[in-house]
Amino acid sequence: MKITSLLKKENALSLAGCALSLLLAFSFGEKLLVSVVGMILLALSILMLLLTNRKKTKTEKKALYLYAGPLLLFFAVISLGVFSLNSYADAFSGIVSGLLSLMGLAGSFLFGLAAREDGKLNPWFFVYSLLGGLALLVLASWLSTMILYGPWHTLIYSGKQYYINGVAYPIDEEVVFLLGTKMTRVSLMYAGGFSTVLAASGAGLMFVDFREEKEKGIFLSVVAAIGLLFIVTVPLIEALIVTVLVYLVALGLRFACFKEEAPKWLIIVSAAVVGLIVSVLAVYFAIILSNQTSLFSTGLLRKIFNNGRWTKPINDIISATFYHDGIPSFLSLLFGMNPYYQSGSSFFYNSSLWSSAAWINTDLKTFEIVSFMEGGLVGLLSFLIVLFSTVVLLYRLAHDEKRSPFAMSVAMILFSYFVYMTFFMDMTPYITKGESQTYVSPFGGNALFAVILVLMGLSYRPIYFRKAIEAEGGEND
Amino acid sequence: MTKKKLWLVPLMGLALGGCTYVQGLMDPSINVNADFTAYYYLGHHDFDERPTAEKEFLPLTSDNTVEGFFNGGGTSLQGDGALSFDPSQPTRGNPGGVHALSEDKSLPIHLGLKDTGYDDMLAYGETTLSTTLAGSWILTAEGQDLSPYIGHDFGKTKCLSTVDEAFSLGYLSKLYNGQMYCYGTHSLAFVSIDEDGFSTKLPKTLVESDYFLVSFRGGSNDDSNGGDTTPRLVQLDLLVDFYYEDGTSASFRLKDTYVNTDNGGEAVSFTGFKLDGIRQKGLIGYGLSFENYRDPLSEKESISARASDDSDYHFGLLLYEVMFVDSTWR
Repeated sequence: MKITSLLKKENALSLAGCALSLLLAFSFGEKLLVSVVGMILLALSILMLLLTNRKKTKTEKKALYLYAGPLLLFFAVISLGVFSLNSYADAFSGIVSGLLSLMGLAGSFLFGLAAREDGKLNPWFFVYSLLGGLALLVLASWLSTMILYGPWHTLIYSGKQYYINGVAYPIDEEVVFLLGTKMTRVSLMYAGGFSTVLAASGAGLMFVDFREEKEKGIFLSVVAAIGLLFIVTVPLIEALIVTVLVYLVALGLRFACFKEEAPKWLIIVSAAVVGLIVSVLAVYFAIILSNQTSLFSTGLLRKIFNNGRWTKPINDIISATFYHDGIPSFLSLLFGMNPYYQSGSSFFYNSSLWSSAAWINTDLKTFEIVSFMEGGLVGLLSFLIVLFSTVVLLYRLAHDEKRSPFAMSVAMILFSYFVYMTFFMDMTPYITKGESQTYVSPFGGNALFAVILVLMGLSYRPIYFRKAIEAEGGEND
Repeated sequence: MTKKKLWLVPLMGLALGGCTYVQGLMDPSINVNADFTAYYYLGHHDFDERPTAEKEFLPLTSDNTVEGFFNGGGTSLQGDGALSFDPSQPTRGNPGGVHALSEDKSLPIHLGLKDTGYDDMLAYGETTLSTTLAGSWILTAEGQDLSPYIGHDFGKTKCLSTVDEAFSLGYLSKLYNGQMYCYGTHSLAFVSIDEDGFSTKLPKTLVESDYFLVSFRGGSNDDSNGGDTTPRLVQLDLLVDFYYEDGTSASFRLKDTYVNTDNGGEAVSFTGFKLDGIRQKGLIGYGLSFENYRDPLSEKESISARASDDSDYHFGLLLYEVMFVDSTWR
């Protein structure tokens, strides 16, 4: 498609959306910019939806509400919940920032939906913009990392420390990443999230017909190469693990035959996995809410819930969310932790110097638990519903008979993101010494999450009431 | 540039990697610990290996002191900044009393700073060196607003990393960060040297400076006195070398410098000299070492100032800060 053919009046909104998508993804890594761009996208998407001619059937609308409802509830509770409102010095700032975050999150998702509904521009253009923005961010950070540390510094200088103003830092635990107008030293896991999403987009290449879709092939190759370059030359081990997993899954999908309806065994396995997660969470909550936390220190329960690596931080955060100075708070249980009340919690780390912010020193790697920390049970449950819907959506995308490169690329990106953030999220990514830990939410004002939201909107297709929608002759795939 | 040559661009980036964070990497053994012998900074000579042994020493004449340099500090840094050492008030548990070089134990020895024209060290802004603003900044220096210290705290105002950010990087940035005392951070703060010392290239070239200043204390692991080290003054000849961009160098001997030793991390000593009449322009590096170490305990115990000596006890010169005060660099 020639560029000039795109420059028409009726494409103006979509083109503006493309430009904003690029800015959203690039965003200079700035929280405020992500929210502001998301807010503009909200206005843009409302305009686009008003101008679109296509009407949805009742069932289509119902299906959409079922998908988007929990997501919007999740946005609301993490933006205006106890955690968010208490993260600022005064209530007014909390409310303003919360509203900004809410509009930013909702805007990102709604824009994806609107761009898809609008249909004037091939959805690939939005993917180009989003991945292009991310690629710019990652490329700039990669170049700076190479200049400042050289290649493979985490291996070559393993166990060494370097000094800034006389303060020692382990060199093998960091890279630099663009934040605002300067390069900031961040953890490997933080940089890994961006790189993994980019690298995973290359899995879509397996579904591209290079003879007919050369441009898509080249674009995906380039952005994936930028992500892989960062992953391989540092190396970012966690990102590498997830990327390899994504490519293996993509390879499997490339050659596997899918039935439209999920086979029985898959339903049984999925139900078992969901059941297991729900049971484990139920036991967590039951023990913590009944204040029987000493059970975590005994026998098998200790091995499962207090193993020090993955589950202990989860355990600690759930406990810290519920207890305010050792006293249970049902408000926090429902709507999120108050970040400044966590000094005396009986089960929590009691860092001698920075006890008032002890929760921030847990090495939590699981963003699902952050949804509980920021949004309480309401946040966690709505997020789990969103996750469930996304898994079903991923199945639908992977099942896509045409196996369109678009559906597969987006599916692989979403898959990589959710896997990475479940196991390797970092909520305090900036390298600092002492008390100045900075919390970085994986949700509000987070560029990567905003990109994922746009992609979720763009790739939306009804996952509930599909048969009824088909019978009404509405949109399905 | 041809397409082929464009591939060189990332390679250039990689090549540059050698001159940044990866400079001066150290093993992570440095923790908050007072045992200086574990952290000797040995064998680091960017210039000739201890060239001072053969070199001619230039006279120091700019200071209005007999020695030609100043030497102050002590257990108390208030008042006139004299190197005071009060035997009746040892700062560490010491049933045997204080050992001093002088037969007459009624020190203080007065080599005051005030009389020698270094007033700013004693009272910079509203603070003196002893009442300097809280030392906690060192642990949170990164990203912290240092403006409350600039213009008020001598160390943070005059240190090299404030003058130029280039001095902020590398192991020796410990000597350029304005932390002139221990502040309870022990080996996190000091650079421990033995007689051989070190010489280092600086990240910039000096244009001019008012005076040269070193902040240090002595440390030993002599615990023969009831399991505790003994607060005392030792003496040594501090050797300072300046290296210039044209390949020449100049060496100075600060004879009989007093060093407050095993007397706690806040009881530091200062020494230095005015740079009037000494070549400043084109200075690209310096070296610090010492010789002629004399310790009141050394007659009884075998305390060696050479790390490689097979001795039960060692002495280390623990450096906190090196300054070219009021300097400009290019």
